[in-house]
Amino acid sequence: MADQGDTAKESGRVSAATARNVDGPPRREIAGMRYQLVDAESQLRFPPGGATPVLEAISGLGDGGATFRRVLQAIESMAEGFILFDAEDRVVLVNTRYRDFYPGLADILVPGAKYAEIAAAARARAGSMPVRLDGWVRDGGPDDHEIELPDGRWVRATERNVPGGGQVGIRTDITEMKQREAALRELEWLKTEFVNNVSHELRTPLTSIHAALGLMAGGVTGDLPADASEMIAVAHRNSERLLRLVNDLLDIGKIEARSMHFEIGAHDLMPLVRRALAETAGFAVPFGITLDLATGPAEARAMLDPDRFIQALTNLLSNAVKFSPRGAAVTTAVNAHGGMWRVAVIDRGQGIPADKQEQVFERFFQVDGPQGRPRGGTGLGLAIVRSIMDNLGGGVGLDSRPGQGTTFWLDLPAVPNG
Amino acid sequence: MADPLARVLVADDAADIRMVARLALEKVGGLIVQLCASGEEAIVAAPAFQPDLILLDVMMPGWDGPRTLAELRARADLAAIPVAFFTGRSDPAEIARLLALGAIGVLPKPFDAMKLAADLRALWERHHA
Repeated sequence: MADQGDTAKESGRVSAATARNVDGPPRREIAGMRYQLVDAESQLRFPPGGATPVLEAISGLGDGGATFRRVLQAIESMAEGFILFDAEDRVVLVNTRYRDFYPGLADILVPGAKYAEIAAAARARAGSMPVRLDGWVRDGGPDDHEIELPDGRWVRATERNVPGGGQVGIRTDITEMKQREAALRELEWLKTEFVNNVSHELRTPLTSIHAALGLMAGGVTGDLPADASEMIAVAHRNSERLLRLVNDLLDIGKIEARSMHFEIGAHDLMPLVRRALAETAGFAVPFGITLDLATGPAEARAMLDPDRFIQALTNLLSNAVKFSPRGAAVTTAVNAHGGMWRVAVIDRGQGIPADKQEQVFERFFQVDGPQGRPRGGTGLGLAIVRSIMDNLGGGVGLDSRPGQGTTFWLDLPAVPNG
Repeated sequence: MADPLARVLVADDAADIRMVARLALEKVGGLIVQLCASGEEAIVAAPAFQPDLILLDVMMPGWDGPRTLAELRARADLAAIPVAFFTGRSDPAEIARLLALGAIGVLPKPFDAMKLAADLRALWERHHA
């Protein structure tokens, strides 16, 4: 019961203090906290019934402000910086952590200070403005920003409107996260650089090896015994495969380093599809595969880079050829699909099991070819296709049922014909 | 119609590539070939050899391919000789850059040695068409 009595007395003191301070912002030390509370009841200005459930619960407790002080202590104990402005844009509450982010403004980041005054001081003192961007004030909506402070620390600034007027601002120290991000980016860059350098270094000797074997296989250096000629053919074929792998690695490296150049414009898809088919026709011959083009639109304009699109489509076509049974056809079809043009490559191969369908776009993932036929791929083709399509603002995907073949498709943003 | 391509000067700093190119152009293509290990060497050798066409590697120590092309163009006796580039970087932007320098064509590396001479002849014929 004694507790209740104390609470009642404190409640009276709070009211009395409020009543005494009508001419200007009253500042009070509560429980040793360094920030000050301004007129808890009149200046918070939560409309009757419009306050949050938490505040209603506090004000309805009738514990003479004890819970209210606990809330303030909690705010002071937060790892985040906290500031509350009232409907007149004056500071109601600010905790020590918040002031710590803006050491140059500690004297003005106090209850009663107007936002405009703080902002002016921040500008005058060059640089450490507690960001509440003008755009945010005008929009009145929630907004998050990541800000680098003059002392090198990073904060995430979150500003939210308070029901009934005013804003609450939170500052979170994200310096460590930013440092980790930077370290990761650096590592990623080093990895890409390494792969690029190794690939370039590999390509120079491979060029000589491949060309020399090509001349021997072509009979330029004289007739070879049958066994030797067979071995040269094996070496030549494999040097070609190595070169493809190195080229694919270089391509993926370039895409990841964003140094691959994309020349995106509006183009008619159909001539490009026909070009990709023509480029793959020779490759399909030894597999006994025919390439068909289904009847499609007369014109299909899309946003794309012609060279990269053809690279992506020939990749899908050569895959379809490799995984088709001898004598089958691979069909390409162009259709409207939402706001996109969908270019589908349909094969009659053995299909891709459901649990492998996501993995096929990962680097170095390969599914088994038909009847153990050597696939001769690098495992990078579909990863490159996906990177290209990401850069083109399009998409890539597949539908497949084991035993019934697979359809790979490319989606490209459509442009109205005109 | 121009005379058929007969004499080709090849400048490449990689000795192995030079050897392969000689075999590919002489034995497969029936061309007369002069090999040079640098752009500087090519400028010195060209007046005596009188090539119909010069094939320049793009990345060479000392004068690179584009610099060698500029030096050829600055010499009255060599300025008119058509030049093609040989490059390991054959992305569209790079090819466009090389063609803009005045090359008649760009051959990618790695190359098909059995087709190298035919590719050069095709460039030559297109240039004279």
